[in-house]
Amino acid sequence: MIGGYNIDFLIASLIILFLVLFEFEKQNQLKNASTKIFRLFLLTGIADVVLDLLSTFLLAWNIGELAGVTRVILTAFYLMQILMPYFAVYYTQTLRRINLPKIHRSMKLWGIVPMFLGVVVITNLWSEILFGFDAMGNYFHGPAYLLMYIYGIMYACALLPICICHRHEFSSREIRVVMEFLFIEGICVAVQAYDGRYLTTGFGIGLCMAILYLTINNPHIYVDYLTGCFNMTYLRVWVREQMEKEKSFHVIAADVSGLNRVAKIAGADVSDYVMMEIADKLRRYDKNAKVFRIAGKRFLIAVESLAEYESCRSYMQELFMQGFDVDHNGEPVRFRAVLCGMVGAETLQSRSILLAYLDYMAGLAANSEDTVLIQSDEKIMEGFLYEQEIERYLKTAVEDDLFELNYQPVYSLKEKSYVSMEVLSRLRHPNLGYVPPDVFIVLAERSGQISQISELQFRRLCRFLKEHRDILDKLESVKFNLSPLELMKCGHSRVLIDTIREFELPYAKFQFEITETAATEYSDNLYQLIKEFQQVGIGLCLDDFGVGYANCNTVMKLPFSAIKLDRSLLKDVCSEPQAAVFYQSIANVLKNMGFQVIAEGAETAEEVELLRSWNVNLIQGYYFSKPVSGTEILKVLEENQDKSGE
Amino acid sequence: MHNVGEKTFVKKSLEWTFIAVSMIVFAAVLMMSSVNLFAGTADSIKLLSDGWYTMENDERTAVSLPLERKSGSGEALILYNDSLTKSDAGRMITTRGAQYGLSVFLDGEQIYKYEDKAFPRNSQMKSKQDCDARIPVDFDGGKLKMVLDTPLRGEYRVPHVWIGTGSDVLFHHFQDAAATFAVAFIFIILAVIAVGTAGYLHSKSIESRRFVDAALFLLVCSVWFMTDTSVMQRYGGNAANVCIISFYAFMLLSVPMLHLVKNTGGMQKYRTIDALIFAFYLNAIGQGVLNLCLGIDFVDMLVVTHVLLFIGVSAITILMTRESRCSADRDVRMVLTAFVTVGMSGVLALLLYWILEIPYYGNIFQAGILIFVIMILFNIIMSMAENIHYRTEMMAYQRMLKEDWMTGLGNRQPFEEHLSELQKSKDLQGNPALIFLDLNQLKRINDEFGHAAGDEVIIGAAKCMSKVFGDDGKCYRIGGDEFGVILPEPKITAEEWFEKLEQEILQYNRGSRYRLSIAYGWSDLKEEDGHRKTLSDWKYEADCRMYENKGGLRRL
Repeated sequence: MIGGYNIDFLIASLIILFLVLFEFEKQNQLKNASTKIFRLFLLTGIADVVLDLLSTFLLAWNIGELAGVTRVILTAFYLMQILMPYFAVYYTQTLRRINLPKIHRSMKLWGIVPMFLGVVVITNLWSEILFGFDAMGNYFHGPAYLLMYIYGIMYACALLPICICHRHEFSSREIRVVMEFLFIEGICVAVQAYDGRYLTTGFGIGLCMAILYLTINNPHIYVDYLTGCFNMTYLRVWVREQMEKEKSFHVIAADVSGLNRVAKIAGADVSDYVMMEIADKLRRYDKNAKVFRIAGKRFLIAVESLAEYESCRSYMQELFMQGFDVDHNGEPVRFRAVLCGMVGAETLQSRSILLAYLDYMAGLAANSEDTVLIQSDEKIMEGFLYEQEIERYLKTAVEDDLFELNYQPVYSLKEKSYVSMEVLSRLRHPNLGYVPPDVFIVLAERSGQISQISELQFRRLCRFLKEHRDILDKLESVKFNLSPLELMKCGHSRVLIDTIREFELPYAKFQFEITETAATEYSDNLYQLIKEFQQVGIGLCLDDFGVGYANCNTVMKLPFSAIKLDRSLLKDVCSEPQAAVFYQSIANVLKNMGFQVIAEGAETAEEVELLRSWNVNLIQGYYFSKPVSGTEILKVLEENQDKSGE
Repeated sequence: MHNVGEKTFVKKSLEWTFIAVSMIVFAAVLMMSSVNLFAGTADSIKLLSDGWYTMENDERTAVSLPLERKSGSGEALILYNDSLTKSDAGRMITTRGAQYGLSVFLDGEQIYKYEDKAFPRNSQMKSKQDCDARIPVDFDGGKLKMVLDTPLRGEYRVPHVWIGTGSDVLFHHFQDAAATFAVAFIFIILAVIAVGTAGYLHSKSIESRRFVDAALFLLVCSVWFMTDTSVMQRYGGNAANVCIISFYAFMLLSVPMLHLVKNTGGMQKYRTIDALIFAFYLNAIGQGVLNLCLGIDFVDMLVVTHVLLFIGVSAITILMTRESRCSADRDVRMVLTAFVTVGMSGVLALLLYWILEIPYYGNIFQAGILIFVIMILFNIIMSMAENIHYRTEMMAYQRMLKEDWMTGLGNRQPFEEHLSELQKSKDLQGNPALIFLDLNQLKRINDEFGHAAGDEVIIGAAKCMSKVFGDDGKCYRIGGDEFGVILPEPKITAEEWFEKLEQEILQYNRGSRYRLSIAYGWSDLKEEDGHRKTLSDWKYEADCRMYENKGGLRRL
């Protein structure tokens, strides 16, 4: 007890506040509005409690020489008391999900009353309108001492309408926290009002700050656990604020998925260590740069000036060129990194578009073996916007069934006629023209629309075949592509089989093509599916052999009737003897294993001659026919019939 | 390149320094005022507030100071005090009240009377004067009498009376003026900093007039503050001269400020500012002439300066409001805010001066000017920092304009520069070679697989080229699918280079979904006879060979 006051509460509060401040500052320095205000709020709270404690001591001791000091300390304490409710309002406002400049503007308005009160408190040194000291140095209330209480209650109560009127702009958790805040501080003030000996107001401040720290302003929620960089949550907040402030910023993303290879060889520990090393080096480079971890193996650095961008870019290039010394033995681990830079990233309008764009850019260097730097320019942006537009258009296309079918026949050298055909999807954008299948299939797979598209296409195919029954008589099989995603879907096989039955077509004339990737990711589900196809007599064909990691093992496990050799294998057969030997050997092996071998992508007579010499009988390619529409394929097959008939 | 980060750091720390400095200043002012107010608690100088009485009709009425007394008919107020003893001999009595024509008597002997020596003051100025009376050394107890004979607005306001040794009283006076001296000191320091900054910026050839203006303003202000204090006028030698300096400082302090405004944003176009500067000079000269020739006192002409100041501040405020409306210049807005602040404090001070005649009007104006100066300086520094920031940004932008963004190679501009530089170069060691390269079938890749595929191939091609040529030469992307390579001193033959390139392309194609194929054409700068080709011939030859090569490839 000091001078009849119990200061234990203040001391307890001070300890809590300092702990919160210590923990808060030890974390990453966040720069968003809510955090800034929280820091100010916290510091004001500490100042408030410290001054409260000091003035309690000074008033209790009542030393004549220190009368001036007491007065100044008390004035400062009053000023803090003015700031606290203001910051409480400010803090609550920053939690709202609205435009930041709007909040700052409105808070200027809110600041008028505290400003006025501040003037009153400072002039109180002369006027003694709030408090004063008599000749004995004893403290007394001035005539207007209630002013402070009225103000405090007014601003605290203002929080209620803010929360209620704008409840849609808060999360329910935030409203709950603000209410808790009011409740606790209210009780503490009430206790002190009831019995002035207990200085619980300051204690309430400590408790409230601890609550805010634990619930809303814990920097941990913005920090990635492994690397200590900022995480996606903070990226969202930061990008939004940056865009609202109309501040320009530039980003460089580093895709280090090349590290996966390191992980495969050296283990996950090493790759984690390297991740931490990267994060550390990036963070230490420039205090102003913000380093985010935006995906498993991807970092993003955001800077606000071109000069910083430039230096950051060269720093990162050098960093990844050098590699990382994992064992401290002077032999750094090097791996492929893709650096994607963009100047003026605020033009992208949202975090998700920014991330999609960086993703797109990283994809452009997917094949590179070394570290590359790609920076956004108009052409890349154009390509990205094109993909975005196609992605949007896909939805309409699926809804209105706007996909068309194209057919590319497979020629048999032996029979000198077309014996089969592959069904390909085609999409036409009203403004952008034909969309390459490689583009829209990848997009459809990404957005999960692929099986829907496939079903539509398959129905269309069946309808076409039913209308032109004679095609099936001319051909041995019709090949239809299934994407790996469809194969993972349970019950998809039934849909396809039912469709064939619905149109009363012979199962045996159908062959489903699946890619290597799907075949390698071989699962029970896939096996089940294939069994069902087999039961009704539908054939299976392995597509694009030679692109990915397919091996003979996979091929033998699944009951393929035909295998298509990818066009990339054929690319250099004419110019490179090794490529030719390779092609020939593979074709032989597969043929000896009993598979039907189809050569894809034959474009020149030279190639066709080579294939003939290697006894590859079935050929699909531009040399014979490009993919053509339904009416055209009828014509092509007709002519061909005539030719072979001759 | 780390200094870029430092610059933003400097910018940020400037902000914090500003806040910290203003906090320190405010704290200091607060502290000083509190020390001032309660200096009475110290022992050295004592309040003589008790023991005073008046005699009316031989009736003794005890009073205590400070005292307010109405005096409708203008009769003198006489206060007596009997509490002085022998121990007070040689001490000083000090109070204020010169505006009431104060005189002090001790046992009927006049020991103080206020007189305007050489320089007439008005009542506000008088009210700031310290009136010190010395008690003779041989004093042996007696009656102290204070006579105030000219009431103001029909009343007397008698302030505290202090008593102490001569040095204590002197110290007390200095303590009174401490706040003013502190402000003046801060001003001088700020002025020195401003001049230093101006010099530094001048050496870096950056516009710095405003720093000089601000420094001048600060110096004139500090002179005015200091010469306006009672201490300076009493102890600063010739009181009249100090007063004249004070008046001139006050008359002219607006001139540098007007220059500063003129140098801000787009304010040069307003002729009003020149007219105002002229008016202030005219006022100063005019008052001097009138004082010398006609003997009109400066105090009587003070109102002219006040009116001019009032007009000046309002005119500038109006002009700047107009300017800030049509241009969103942050500079103008900031200086405008500063002007509104100083204007408001000035108006408040003038109101207090003319209507209430209170002596501390000066402090209000001082505080206003202090805030004003801090705002102005802060603004100038911020705009300088912005200027520097803008410059570095522009330089970075200029450098980036020479890059091809997608591939990270140089673009057409540095390519052409490099070519002509080599062609003109005086001492050529080897025989520089130019290679034009062109991607085959890029359009088809674009059509068949989409833009992304095309860009991927371009990036791949750039990578192949820098791997092959990067160590000995320089690669440029000079068009959509065109590249140029310059080898200043090729060490191996063209065929060997292309062999390397083909190997690299082969390597790339092994891992790529899309087939990369490049056509190329080589041209040496020097003919076989050692004589140089012209730039256009050089390029033409490389171009032709590239197309030959492309034609050969067109077998598809």
